[in-house]
Amino acid sequence: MKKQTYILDSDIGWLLLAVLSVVWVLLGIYWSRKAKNLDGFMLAGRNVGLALGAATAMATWITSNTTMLAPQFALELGIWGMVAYSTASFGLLLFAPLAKRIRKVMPKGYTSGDFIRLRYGRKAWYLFLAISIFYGFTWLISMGMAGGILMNAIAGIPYKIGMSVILLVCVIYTLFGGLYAVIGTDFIQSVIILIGVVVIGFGVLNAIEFDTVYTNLKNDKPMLVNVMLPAAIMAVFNNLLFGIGEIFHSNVWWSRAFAMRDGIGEKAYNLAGLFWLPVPIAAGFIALASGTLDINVTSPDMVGPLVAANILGEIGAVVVFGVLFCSLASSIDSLLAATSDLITEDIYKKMINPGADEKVLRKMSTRIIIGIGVLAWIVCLPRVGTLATVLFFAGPMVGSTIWPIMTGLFWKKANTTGAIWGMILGSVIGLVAYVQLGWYTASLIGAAVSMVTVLIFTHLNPDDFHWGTLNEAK
Amino acid sequence: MVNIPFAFSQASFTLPNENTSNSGHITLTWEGHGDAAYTLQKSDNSNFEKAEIIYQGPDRASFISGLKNGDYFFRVKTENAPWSGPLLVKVEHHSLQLAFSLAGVGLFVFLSIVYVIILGTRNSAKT
Repeated sequence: MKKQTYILDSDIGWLLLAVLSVVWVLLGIYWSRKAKNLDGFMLAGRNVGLALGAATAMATWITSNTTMLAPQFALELGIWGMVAYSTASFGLLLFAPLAKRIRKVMPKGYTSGDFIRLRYGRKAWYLFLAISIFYGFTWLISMGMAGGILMNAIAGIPYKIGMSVILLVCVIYTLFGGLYAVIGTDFIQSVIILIGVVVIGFGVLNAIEFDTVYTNLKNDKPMLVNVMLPAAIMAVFNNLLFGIGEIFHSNVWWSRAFAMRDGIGEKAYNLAGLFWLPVPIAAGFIALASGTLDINVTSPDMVGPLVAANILGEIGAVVVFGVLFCSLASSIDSLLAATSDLITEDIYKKMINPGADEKVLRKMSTRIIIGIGVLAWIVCLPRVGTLATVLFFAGPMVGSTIWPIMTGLFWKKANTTGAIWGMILGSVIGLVAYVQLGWYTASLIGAAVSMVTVLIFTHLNPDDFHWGTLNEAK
Repeated sequence: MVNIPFAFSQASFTLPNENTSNSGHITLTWEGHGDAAYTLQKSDNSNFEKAEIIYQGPDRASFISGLKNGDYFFRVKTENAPWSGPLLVKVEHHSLQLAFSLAGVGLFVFLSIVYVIILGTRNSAKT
């Protein structure tokens, strides 16, 4: 076991955990009054405005990965690592025009799975569902694990208890309020996260000088300030394409595109991308300061919280605890809601019980949220791997979905064979790269192989798709 | 049988004696007893001449990064106890040719995505 001294008094940690848990559950109960029908529960009544839309996109994308993995990137890959992580904002920015297109061609759609089924048919749909559910579950597990790791590292709360509490709280408030609760809490969480990041950022800038950090890095960790660090050079575009793949395919982002009012999606995703861009840079910089502050890092994903607490003392540790709890909750709730929608709509309604009415679907959605929560809890119990190794395993698979999704939305000529083989070859060859070269190449190679495959099949056998097919409501 | 007093127990790494890294980072972990204070040293030779102390304290792990190509030796000990056996980390970064080739592929894929979206958005606005 990697023993590390705690940065927050255990009693304060337990108190914070209790207060934050109660607040989010109460908010879930409050928003449950709005989630009266299925559209309300799954898509917040398709009436989300710009402020809430931008806040929910930004808060969901600021996961514990941003606050824990971005510093880890900086500590492993240096300056390029910071840049690499911030490129994930391109996923949000490039999804903005897609969100507009999605609302236009599928005004009554529910999930990203709906799109693949209607655009490419059932075989591509099965494959896509397998990738999407695997990815969603991987992300959820990495968040659950992060919750346990964090609370243990910060306040000495046992891993299993911290992990169980954060999963339980998110399951409860998502159960009550559906996407209304998810988006509402995301708004509050995004405000807390931004304030926290600003406080920590100013604290770090006040405590140490850029020159000192640079000199320390140059002497002790020279490759971190070397722009010719090979792994980091590869990681820049790998992370960029991983982020684009995550957002383009995941129902977390599609459900928000469906939930936002007409004309809002594009602006909201653009705003979210711009607000998100500096967060990993700030988070990454504080990691690079760890050497200057003489902080021993036992696990690279803990460097951000360690530095913040070291500089700001107990107040810093409280801020870190709050920010990280919010960034975890804002992602776990979104994943629970979006994955449950995908299973309810795409598997239960479309494959098992096509005649199910709203009441049955709502009941099924509730059971699925609980089921996903329990399954995630079981997988999270044994603490395995670092966050990066868990999450990036799904990298080649999500990278392989970029071209099928994007060309499917804009090109009439994009066809089923190209989409299926793009996803299969991209995933398989990307996984080989993951094993042979390293995680920092897998999404890049997965996306590149998928692109070539889609282009070849589109050229060889162009389709002539009718966009009206995507609007099932007609 | 001789009982070694608690305070004199030798720390030992929980990693193989030889390790390789192609990204210049590694997490060193070691075993010890209770709240003992550990000293971790790094050197570029197995005799630990001109060795540098890189950590002193109660933690039982340390994340090392930013290493250049080369061989690095580490050893750890508790107070009044002998040093552990040396742990070797061989750092050999990927070639820059591979890195730039993959980055070039990534840039091309990214620009192609941007091109398809801009063109697609423009065309769909017309229809």
